[in-house]
Amino acid sequence: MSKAQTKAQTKARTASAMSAEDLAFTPMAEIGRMLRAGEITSAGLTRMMLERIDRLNPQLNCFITVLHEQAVKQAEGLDDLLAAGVDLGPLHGIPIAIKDNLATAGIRTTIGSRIFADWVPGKDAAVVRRIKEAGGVILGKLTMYEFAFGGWHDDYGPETRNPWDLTRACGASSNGPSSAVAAGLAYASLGTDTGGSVRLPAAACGLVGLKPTYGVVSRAGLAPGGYSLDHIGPLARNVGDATIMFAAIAGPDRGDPAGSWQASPDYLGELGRGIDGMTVGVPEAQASELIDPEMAKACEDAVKVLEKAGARVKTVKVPDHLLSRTLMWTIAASELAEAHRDYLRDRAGDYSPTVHGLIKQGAFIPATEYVRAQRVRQRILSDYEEVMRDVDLIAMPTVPFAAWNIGDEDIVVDGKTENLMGCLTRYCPPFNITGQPAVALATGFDKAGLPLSFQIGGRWHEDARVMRAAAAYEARTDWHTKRPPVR
Amino acid sequence: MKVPKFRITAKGLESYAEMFDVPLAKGEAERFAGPLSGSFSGVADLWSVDVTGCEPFTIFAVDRVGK
Repeated sequence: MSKAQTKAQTKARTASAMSAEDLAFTPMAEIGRMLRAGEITSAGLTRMMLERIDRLNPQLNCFITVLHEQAVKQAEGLDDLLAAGVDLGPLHGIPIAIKDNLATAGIRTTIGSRIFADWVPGKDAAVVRRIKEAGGVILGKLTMYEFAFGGWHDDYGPETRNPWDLTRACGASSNGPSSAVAAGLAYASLGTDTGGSVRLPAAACGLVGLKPTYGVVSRAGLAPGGYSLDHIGPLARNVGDATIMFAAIAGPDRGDPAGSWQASPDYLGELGRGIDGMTVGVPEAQASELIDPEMAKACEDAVKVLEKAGARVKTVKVPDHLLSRTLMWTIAASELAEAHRDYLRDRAGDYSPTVHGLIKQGAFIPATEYVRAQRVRQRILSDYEEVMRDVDLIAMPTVPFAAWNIGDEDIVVDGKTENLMGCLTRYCPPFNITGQPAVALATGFDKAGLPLSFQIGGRWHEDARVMRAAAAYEARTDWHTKRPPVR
Repeated sequence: MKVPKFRITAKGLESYAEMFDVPLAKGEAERFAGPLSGSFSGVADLWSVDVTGCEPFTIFAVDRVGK
């Protein structure tokens, strides 16, 4: 046996010694190493993920469309490229999935609705194009709340299940993107965040979810949820994977009229620089504060970890979170009602009743109130600018409570009953209102075994610093290595 | 600024819908009046915020003009 044959056999043994389950949960950097070492192929990896999807999606209902043939064909092409010495970077050959409100050329894009059930875009969204250019293999399109706004459409079967507990929801509105990644059915996914819809599902499923600075990731090809609040960001099982995805999609794009033209820094290169000497602001308790005690404790513990990593911690006063929530509703409902005017008239019966009601209510918001909301938004932004002069980062909860029971409309938090959707959107909207970057991270589990989460916000265009802090936190904890019980 | 007093009623919603061509099915005005009253109590509070010097937040990237 030649030396080369022995080497190949050893490599094959290394890969086969790892179970498909282990391989599905391996970080992207290691998968990339294995691909480049010839221990695995992208086509093999893709087939394995498709097998997992076929086996587990009936329980979870996180995929709307699975691209069996296209994904394998794409992966084979990427294997050929790698064999020919063409390496597209850290995402090359890695299977990921996309929320179904991001346009995919030739592949139906439903926006979780009946109205767009048969829509097949002619062009990829900018982020989808960039994922392809970076060598990401697209496994399929993922479930979501209808129009990313407040409710599930029954045309898509039962609401997506949380891999940590199949009776629980997996956040809103990027249900599929969180469920699929948590269950190991994709290495990462793209979600969208108008009032928390990347970070809330990340929190519910124990993932990393990044809402970048507004305009850093092009919204071209995204079905609008609220033009001035919409962000696209990655969900992943660890900070490194999330950063690989983010680096692939970030950067100037002429297709987004409000997109930033700032060139992207080396996000991956920045990750390991630590947070020694940075100042983390922790908002003081507000009069309206409402949070589950287990979640509050987990967030306090997370801040202590950042302190041990070298950060200084300082209490700060930030604008009332509930004011941001009111702004989010006023602005998003107005902008969505404008975008849906014809559908509200001609396709009223095709909406789910909840979402139809929510969008139509936006049509009753007078222009004076919308303009007022945008002026108050400027006030909030100025107040946060002031806060960010004193601190580099802000750490606070992502959500007041862990994943809720599917179908619940109210929730009891710390003995108080609140409307679930209202209470859910308590901590995320401030960063949609200001456009600052914010990343949600797992920070433990509650007594029921459900993930807990906190978020780190940063200054505008300091996404790299936010991810550095996230990496520093992750390096000192092991929550990101836990796997859900779904098999 | 004086905080406005919104009075959201089913009858008012019907008139607004007729004036501004918002399609309303039977019973929707009654159904929306309650939730909208709740939402608008928060919107009214926006008028108690000091917005001196604050122009409407713009989504247009002015720094890109001409580039």
